[in-house]
Amino acid sequence: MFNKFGVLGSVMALALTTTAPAFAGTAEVIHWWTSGGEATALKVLVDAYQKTGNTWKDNPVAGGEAARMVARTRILGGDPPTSMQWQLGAPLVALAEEGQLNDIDAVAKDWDKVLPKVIADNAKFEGKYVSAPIDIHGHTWLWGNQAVLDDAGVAMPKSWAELIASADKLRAKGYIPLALGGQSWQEIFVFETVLLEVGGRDFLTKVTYDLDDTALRSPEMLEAFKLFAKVRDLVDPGSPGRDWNITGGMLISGKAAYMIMGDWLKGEFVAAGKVPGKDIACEVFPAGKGTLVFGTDSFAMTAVKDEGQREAQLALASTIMDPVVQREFSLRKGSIPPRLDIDRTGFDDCAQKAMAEADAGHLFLVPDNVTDATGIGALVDQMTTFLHSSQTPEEGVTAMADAIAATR
Amino acid sequence: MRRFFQRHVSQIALSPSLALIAIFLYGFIGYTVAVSTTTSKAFPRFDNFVGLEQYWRLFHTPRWHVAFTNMFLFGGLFLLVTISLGLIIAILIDQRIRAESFFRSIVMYPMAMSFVVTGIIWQWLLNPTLGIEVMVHQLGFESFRLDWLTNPNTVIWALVIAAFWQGCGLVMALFLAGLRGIDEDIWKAAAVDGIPAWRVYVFIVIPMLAPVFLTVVVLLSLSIVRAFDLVVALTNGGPGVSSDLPSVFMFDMAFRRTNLGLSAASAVVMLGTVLAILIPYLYAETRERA
Repeated sequence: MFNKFGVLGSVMALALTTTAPAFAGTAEVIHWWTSGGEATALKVLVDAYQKTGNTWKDNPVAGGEAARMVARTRILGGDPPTSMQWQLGAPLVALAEEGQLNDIDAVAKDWDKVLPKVIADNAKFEGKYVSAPIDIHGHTWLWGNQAVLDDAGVAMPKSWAELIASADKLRAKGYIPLALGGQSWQEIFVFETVLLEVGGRDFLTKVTYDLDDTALRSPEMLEAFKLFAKVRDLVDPGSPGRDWNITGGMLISGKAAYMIMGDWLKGEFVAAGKVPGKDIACEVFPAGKGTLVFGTDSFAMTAVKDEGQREAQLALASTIMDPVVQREFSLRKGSIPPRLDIDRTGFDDCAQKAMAEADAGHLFLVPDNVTDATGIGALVDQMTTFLHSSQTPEEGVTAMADAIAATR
Repeated sequence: MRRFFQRHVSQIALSPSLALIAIFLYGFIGYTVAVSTTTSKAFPRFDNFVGLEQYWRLFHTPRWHVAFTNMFLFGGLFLLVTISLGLIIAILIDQRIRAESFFRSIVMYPMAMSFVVTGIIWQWLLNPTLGIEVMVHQLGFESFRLDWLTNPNTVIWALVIAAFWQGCGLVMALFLAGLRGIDEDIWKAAAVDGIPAWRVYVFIVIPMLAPVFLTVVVLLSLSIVRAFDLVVALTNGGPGVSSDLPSVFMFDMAFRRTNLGLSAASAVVMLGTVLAILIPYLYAETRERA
């Protein structure tokens, strides 16, 4: 009797103090957005979510790997968070196959119409949405310090051929042609642009998605390694092991002319008072190949049973996909929104270019989210080994193809 | 009953820790071996037995060859450099010099640093665009080059130097304690016979330090096998994968590449290597004393 009154009392108290919808719940969210710019962007999402009457229980874990490890442990322990940041594609499917995800189709009726097909396809399991995407980050961008280019009398290159042709002019003026942080995750962006230059989107697909043995031993691959070998001469001796943001500083300060890096680099430009698209030129690289390799931050929805949590989860999914939230979030994070139908005023020139690529269907999901991790890992290992050694292109091709073959 | 307890008190006292060791050491070694015979990816699964296939795959992975070779290269050089220089420093300090504790502290201090801090310090010092090389250039020696850290052929020396800098203090302290334990009469007798000091060291004192050598080798070998944080902080395996060690490879396969099967196989090979080196050595040492 007492219990009944207790419940009744609290329900009444709730009804009196809030005007929230019937199922106000709490969503616990694990994410890895802990740095300044990321936290500002996240606040947009959190504020919008709180306005729906639900409560956001923040659970930030620094570092993507660590955050995913925490989420995985919680899931294995039978106490999943309501939602967590998780990659699209293969990693998401792996989780769904274990029966660890809820579908959110109840709130995702029109998502197919507004999302790029590649994102829609990779956010689903067995035809149903299990994850809500909040941003798109392009990886294969070429950035150029405009003042340096002007000083050396060089136009922003649209291909590797043009970039390499401009290197001597830049060196003559004392500039480092290419700022490169010599860690494999940064170098792979460069390698991807090289593959695109040589064989276009089809070749990139065959090599990084299919790990196709014929493509890996083809004449195009040899050509790609010959081009990639030239990168060794474009960088400075301090490159190996250097962090991406320090490397970005070389571009911003005008020590180096170019850098190939994802568009999160824009945050560094803005912090240094430089305008992307003006002070720092940008190009989806190589131009005209119809391909922008990208990654997406998205929130996977776990298999929570509780009715309140379920409602909180659905509310979270629709908040993430809300046009205003998507717009405001990306403006702060330096990304572009996955929704193609939002108001695009206020985005910088580089973001406009990225959105045009997305409209044209040029997005290419990062191979990490598609290909077997051991196979693509072997490719990355051989790519970085080649760049830091004196292997000939012929040796590089064989070593890479053999290493990938051994993972099968 | 009481006599039973009295007679077996040591066994009873030891049994909880023995049980823990049985589960958490040998139990999990067995578990790792079992995982290494499966194609487990992100989660351990035992419904996909493949025998020794992961070992075949492991030894066809070029990066593993680099890591495995590096363990011997790094281990050999580190043992050689640290033991020889540690012994020499101990002998020098043992000469009843003035301000002995001052010199002892200098050598001992780096030991207080973790490998992570050690790695970062040496990463800065050896960085060719902001470390020692730049400093020497500013002094006017423009042709000076110190690119050990960024050259795949020499990067292992950068690891050895950092590890030596950190580990030297301990080795020196152990040898110094050993030297202090040597009977003064031996020195007096040698002096009476007119034997030069270096011969006393080489033929009499150093052989007497054999137990200290055993301790040092075991301690250093352990730090070689678990040298993970040093590599991660100093080079992160780079340039390329040239400074990879088996422990780094194993971690990468387990957590970044989500390939537990292959990772477990590399762990088992590491364990096998350590046992192959240590067991004969320990066996010989214990037999001699018994």
